[in-house]
Amino acid sequence: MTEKLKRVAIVGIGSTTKPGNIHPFLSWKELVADAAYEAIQDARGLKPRDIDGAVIAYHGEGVNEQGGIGGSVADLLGIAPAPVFPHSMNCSGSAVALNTGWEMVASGKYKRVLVMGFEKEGDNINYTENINISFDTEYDYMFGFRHRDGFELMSNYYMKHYGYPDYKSYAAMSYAAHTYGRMNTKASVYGKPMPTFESLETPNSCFSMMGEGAAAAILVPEEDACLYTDTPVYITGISLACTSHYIAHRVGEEPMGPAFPNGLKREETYGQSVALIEAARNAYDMAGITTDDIDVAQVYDLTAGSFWFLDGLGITEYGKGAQYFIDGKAMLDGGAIPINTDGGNIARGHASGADGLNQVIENVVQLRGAAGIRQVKDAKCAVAACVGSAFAHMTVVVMTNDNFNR
Amino acid sequence: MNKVGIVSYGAALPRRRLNVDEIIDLWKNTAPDLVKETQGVTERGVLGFDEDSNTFAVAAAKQAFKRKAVEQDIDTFYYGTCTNPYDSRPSATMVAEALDLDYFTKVMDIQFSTKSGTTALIGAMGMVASELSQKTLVIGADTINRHTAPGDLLEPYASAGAGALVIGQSDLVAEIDGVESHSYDLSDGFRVEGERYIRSGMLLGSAKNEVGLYAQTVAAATRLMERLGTAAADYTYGVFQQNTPATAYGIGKQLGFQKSQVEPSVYAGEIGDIGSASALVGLAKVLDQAKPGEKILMVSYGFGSGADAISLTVTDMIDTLRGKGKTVDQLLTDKTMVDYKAAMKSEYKYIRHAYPLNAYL
Amino acid sequence: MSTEFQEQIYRHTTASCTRSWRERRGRYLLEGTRCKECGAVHFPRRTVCSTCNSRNLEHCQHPATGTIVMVNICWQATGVHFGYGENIPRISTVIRLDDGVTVLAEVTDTELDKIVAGARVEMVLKKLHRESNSTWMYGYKFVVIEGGESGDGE
Repeated sequence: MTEKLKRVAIVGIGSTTKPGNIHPFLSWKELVADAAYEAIQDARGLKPRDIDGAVIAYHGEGVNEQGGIGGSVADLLGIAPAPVFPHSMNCSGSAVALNTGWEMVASGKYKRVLVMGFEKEGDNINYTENINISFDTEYDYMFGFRHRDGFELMSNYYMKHYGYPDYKSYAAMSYAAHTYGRMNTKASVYGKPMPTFESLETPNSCFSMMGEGAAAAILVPEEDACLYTDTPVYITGISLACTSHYIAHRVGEEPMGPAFPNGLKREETYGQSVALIEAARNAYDMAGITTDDIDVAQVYDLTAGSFWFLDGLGITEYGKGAQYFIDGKAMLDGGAIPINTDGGNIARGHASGADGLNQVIENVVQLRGAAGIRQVKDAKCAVAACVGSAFAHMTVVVMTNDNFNR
Repeated sequence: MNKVGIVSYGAALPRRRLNVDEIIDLWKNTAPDLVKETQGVTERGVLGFDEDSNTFAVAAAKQAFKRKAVEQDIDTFYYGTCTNPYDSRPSATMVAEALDLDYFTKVMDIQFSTKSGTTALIGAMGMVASELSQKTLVIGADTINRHTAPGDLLEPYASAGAGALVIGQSDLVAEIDGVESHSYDLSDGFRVEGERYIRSGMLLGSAKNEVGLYAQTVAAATRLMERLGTAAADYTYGVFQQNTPATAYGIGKQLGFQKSQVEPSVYAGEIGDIGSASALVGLAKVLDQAKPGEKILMVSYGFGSGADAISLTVTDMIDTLRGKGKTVDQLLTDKTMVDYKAAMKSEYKYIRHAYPLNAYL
Repeated sequence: MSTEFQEQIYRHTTASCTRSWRERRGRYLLEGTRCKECGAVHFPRRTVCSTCNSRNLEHCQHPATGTIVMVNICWQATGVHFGYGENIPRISTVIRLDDGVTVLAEVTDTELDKIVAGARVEMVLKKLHRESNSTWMYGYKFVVIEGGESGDGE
């Protein structure tokens, strides 16, 4: 399969600042334009009308009463009549959009693809009621449950089942996020006083900072990358795994039927995301890497989710994800793989539809060697993993730079 | 008339309870002694956020089916309530679905004030006696608390609950000896179209009972006993409408019953006025302990609707139902106390925005 | 529901009764599906069997009793939609019913310290939120009937 597909490079990135804040002066169109044009400018010499295809993700029509968004985006960016493919996949939307953008370039049909994601929640007072529509709505949603309940249920189970009696792991993860966020000028916490470790020893320290923002990336085939940048970053592995939205199905993951991943026991998976394990395997296979190759990782952080993200990515054994943070391994000087080096949803901020791309953008910055004081030394291979809904859609993206030996 | 009687029974009561002292302390419009000593009520049942007449109805019927698994045989269902969550749409259909009754069941809502339950029972008797029905499910359920205004003098008594009976011709645990009813047009309590709160139509006091509660219960019961040739002394138990324990004892006294005959059925002191469920839950409490051969006189009353008097004789099958469902005593002791402000919240009595954005603003 | 002012307030979704009507037996009776080809049982109901991909499914009423596997007790009212944040704490559990299917549900009418993994529960019917067309919706919740040992509930 891979012989016929082109290798895809990211040559431009852009994102709005403070995605954990509401920006009342900016409409969704201005957020999207800001991110997109920053990415276009970052791709040296690229002109807006060179874009021959685009993908955009957001939470969906229910959220800000804005549907049929393809045409609106083509128009607002001044790239009409280029095709714009919308995605609505919860918080994983922009990572799914990246997947589609990758396919568009890898197929050879498109040469300069703009991938975007945004969230504009402040225009809707009952925004959370609308994002909850991005669920399988007949049961859980109708009973008033929402994605966060899924996270909290699994978090409580994980902490109990794997033997973590207190919230030191939450404090460690949150402290790491807050530390990194203050090294990232685009983060919502940048410039703010640093919380104490003790103040973070509570289950409330690992909630994402919900806000508004947009993120964008420019994808081109490998052979064109040098036209736009001296530091291309390649998408070498990318995957999406989809399964039932129903939170109860996380126990045993029955909807996967006979496709339940080999080597996993169903009872092992209650505090894990099986779809993530599957997506990680696929992305690593495609990229030809193992966890030993990973230099930096961005994982979706909400409650104890990061712990089983590390487990699912194979960075830790099942149940050891929390210990990883307690041992300080997420930090730059932790002697292991630094995690969420831009501050993550907790400190950089969480503009849902842009989350996946924000993770990827941080990895691009790291792989370009442009991360300044938060630079992971000699970063050559980076992984980003994102979640949609209560573990219904799981994305994993593996990226490398020119220094990585294939 | 063919022999007709009770095959099974069940009850459901709210877990949340409010001490009447809190109500009296806030409104200061009545005397603690009047409420707690004279009327005899110390706590009232409070409606939970997710409860209404229908949820109690379903729970009571499930208790009846736990005692005897006759749900497959139900071919008629009469649902009595005067606090239907819908004004112009039935609730019996929803309760029937939730009980998985066959879609060809003859289903009916009955609204007859707080004697809707016994009125439904009388209707059920006809269906079974005429053999139009093999087994009829009867439920009396109400949420008087939801429909009683804060500061109303009757607020300390306002409660909720449901009683369920399965009526049939065979395997009877109690046979119905006879019924009588009495009604005339009197607005001693009412709630007109479009209004939330039930109101009293007369000053509270003995005159109200003279013309309403006592007048009609005595008329119906006396006529029944005359026709059957029974007297108060023939009945082991008197199950009388318990707006409060005082109304039950009051009716008993008017009919010549001793307090000891009425006491076994009295529960309202701990939970208040449960409307259409009142007589049926009093009956359930008696059936929880009754012995074969004992006679029961049940007399219900509904404001504006009058009284039903029903005479029953317990059979030797009563023991077959023991130990299978929750007794009324168990329902009374399974409780959690709430305070007045929490009660107002869960009974939705605070005035809110029509447009629910308060969680975010 | 009438308003005091002439101008009505518009929302962009007002549900037809059909949608919740189609799922009523799922909400009232825990009715799901069973695959006639391979015997797999499902809740909520499916149109395609996830084990063998057959379309040959039949209604299946799942048992009303089960065991708690996961618990969350939430003390924050904000962001809980449809008004479920009125009743705080909000208790959510994942329950494994006695035939193996799992369901996410609220536990009610139970003291908090009894809501633990391993506890046995039974379904009760309760009132849910009021739909966007202002009718009442009802559905399953659970009460604890027997204690659990705070194990993992597996």
